Amino acid sequence: MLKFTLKRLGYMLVVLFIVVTITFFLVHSIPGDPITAMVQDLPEETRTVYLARYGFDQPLGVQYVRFIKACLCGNLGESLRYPGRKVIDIVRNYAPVSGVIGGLSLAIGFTIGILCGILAALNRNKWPDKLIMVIAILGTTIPTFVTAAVLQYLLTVTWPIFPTTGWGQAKHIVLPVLCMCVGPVATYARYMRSSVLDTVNQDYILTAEAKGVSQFRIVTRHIFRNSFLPCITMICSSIAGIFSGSFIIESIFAIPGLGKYFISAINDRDYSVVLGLNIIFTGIYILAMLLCDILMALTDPRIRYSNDR
Amino acid sequence: MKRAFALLLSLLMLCSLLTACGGGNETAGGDEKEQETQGSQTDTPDNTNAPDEVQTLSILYSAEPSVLDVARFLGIADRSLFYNVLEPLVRIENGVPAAAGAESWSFSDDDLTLTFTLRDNCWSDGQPVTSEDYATALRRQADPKNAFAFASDYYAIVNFEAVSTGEMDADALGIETPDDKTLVLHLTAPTPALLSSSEFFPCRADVAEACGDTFGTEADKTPCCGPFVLTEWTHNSALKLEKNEKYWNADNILLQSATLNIIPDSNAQLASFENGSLDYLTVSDADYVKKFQGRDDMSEMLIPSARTQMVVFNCKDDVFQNAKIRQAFSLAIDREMLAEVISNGTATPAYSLIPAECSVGSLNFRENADEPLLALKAQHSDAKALLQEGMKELGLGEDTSKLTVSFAWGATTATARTYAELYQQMWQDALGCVVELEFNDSSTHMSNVNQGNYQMAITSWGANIEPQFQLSRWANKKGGQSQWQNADYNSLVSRANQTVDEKERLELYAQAEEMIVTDAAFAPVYFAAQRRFYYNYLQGLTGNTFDTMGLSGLYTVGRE
Repeated sequence: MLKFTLKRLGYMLVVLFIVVTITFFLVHSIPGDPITAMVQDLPEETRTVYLARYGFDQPLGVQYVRFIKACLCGNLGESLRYPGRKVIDIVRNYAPVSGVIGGLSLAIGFTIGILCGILAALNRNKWPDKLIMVIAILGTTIPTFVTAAVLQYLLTVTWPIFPTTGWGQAKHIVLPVLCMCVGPVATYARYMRSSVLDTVNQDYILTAEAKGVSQFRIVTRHIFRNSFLPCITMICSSIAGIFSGSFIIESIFAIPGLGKYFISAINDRDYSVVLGLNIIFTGIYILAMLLCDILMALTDPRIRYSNDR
Repeated sequence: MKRAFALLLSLLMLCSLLTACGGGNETAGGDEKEQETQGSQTDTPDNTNAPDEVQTLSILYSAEPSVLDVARFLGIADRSLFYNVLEPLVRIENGVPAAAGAESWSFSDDDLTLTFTLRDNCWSDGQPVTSEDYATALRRQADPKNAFAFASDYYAIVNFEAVSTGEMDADALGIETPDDKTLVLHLTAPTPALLSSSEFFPCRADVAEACGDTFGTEADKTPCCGPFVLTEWTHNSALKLEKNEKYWNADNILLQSATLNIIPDSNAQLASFENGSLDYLTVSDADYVKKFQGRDDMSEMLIPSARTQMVVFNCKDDVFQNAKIRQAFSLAIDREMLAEVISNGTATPAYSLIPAECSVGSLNFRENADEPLLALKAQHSDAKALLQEGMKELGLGEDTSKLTVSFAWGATTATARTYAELYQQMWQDALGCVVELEFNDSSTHMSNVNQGNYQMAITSWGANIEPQFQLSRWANKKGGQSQWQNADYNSLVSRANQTVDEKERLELYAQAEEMIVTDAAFAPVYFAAQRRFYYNYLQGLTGNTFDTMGLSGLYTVGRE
């Protein structure tokens, strides 16, 4: 197990390094620089001073080496668009915001989705199944920004129950979470439904029924547990996405999360923020994948043994 | 057993994650102070015209401020926050420079020395504002370490340019502080428009030094001495201002607090205004304009933006190096139609560069200078013939349908595409040439335009009170974004900038404007304006575009 984990950790570092390198050169290949993006018609001498201040006057290779060195020392640099803000502080301040919204909507969406999926599968081709599947299809097809805009108008203007935008109080969380959990509900409902249907057709269910095990026990002990396992893979990757936030939801509800920060950093050519956030997002994602692998290895010895060999 | 364990483990993970997130909420949310946006005062009926007892506003703020440090900020929008939390030496009030941080000022006889006498004012922590604070700001703005983006605004000060590019030491700056109440600036040449075009803010040297790079990045790292104090700053979400009781003019400021909300999404802005979460808003969406016009509790005002929307031509380009071709493209623009369609009837067609709001000293510029394009239009009724002439000069033949040019836009939205197609159609119909459209995000567009990597491009330039600002954009070695290099023009503008006599200065600016507009370094299209809606209880809003009074004049009457 230890060998397996160490090997995965090694791969992880290689992937991280490759992603960072590719992002570095991609970001620098977009035309424009942070100050040109901000200030119209900047005098040449001011631009020179600015480029020198941040070391952009050096060849790209030199900048890359310096960047990697700084990263190894744990220094992700400072925002160019917002002078004085360290990338690490940006993550520390905004990741929890995205985390609250993303975590809540994933938890709610996951729970409701799983329950709906089981309900649909157990009532296959009856009205609850059809209703849930229609809702699930609508949930996956209607874009978030439409759901958000409609809900926002209905619940803050037509019936002013919630604040339109803002952050800091519990009431600010409701609408964004509501909009964001529509997706997970739909996805998990559909996924769970097919997973349950697969399990129902297994021989051991038939055996259990033949043995005279009660329907309730079959559902909770046999069907649920076995069909739930594949969802672990899915939830791991969803958890990884929690902190990267949702640009659309964060923009519409003016939530100070990382998603909005990341997209505006790209538009503003804020190199260090784009790179820093990218390193952190990649790191979280890879870690989540690693945890997922470990969990799977723990639950299914076949994976572990084939890897060990 | 192992499966049960795995299940338990994943559930545990989920739980720990949720609790972790819950904890994060408290730190992100700051203290749970109730954001009072509605005055709850119920006055007796005879008091209906008296200002409300609770004076608080909630308004839209255009973007997250970059950094609230006068020597490092990058966003033009950041200035509007400085007007509220800092006290500049001079403010623009009703379109003219008015005493603010300085009680008075005077130019020497040769106009090369400007002496300010400061009034008694305090920082919110009780320390007096001194001339040294204003000098500190200028020194930090000149320091190449701060890479100040707007350094060129202060080149009129002796050695500012050399210090800011690192050629000279900071000691060489032409600034003196003989005592705590006097600030002396030495100028390289007479600069009559200095006070209406540059701001002089104070800066606390001790706080700047103590905070280092983080100076001005949080509310508690932003010292204030203006009408308001920044008390809370939830990044990318909202800023909270409270009245500064130690401000010199605090007795005349009614507003007690204001929340500046950063809302990027336009639908969310409209919804916030509609349900009263914002007190006023600029609205351009035609449906909403109609909707709000029908509301009894709202009023509207039209505010000129003092901004010239234009098409810039790249004068170094193979085709647009020819003046006749540029003129043809400029004359073929149907300005009335574009102003009507694009701005929903708020803009004014532009046949010149300088907007109607600009003035030279006490003289309104536009009232004293004709719009140059009107004369050019009268001279050449057929734009296509002009294009053919230009093409012949370049050896491109007479067939305009063989000419293909590109027109670049700095937006990729559906609206931008519609408007760009409007221009395209207009030129193709009038000139018979082929116009290709190019769309880029604004950063790429701006970088392309600044580097001369385009043929025709859409852009706009905001004006200062004096025409100096807009005209100077082309009066450099590079020839501005158009790369229109004209030594006569440059010397005309720089002579004008140094001419103290208003009438003479206006005359020189008018000549320069005529020269550049007639030679079509760019084609002005329209002067933009904004339609602002506000609730009737809001008082003190002015439409004076150039004013830098901040929120200090606003208050509410009869808010429910």
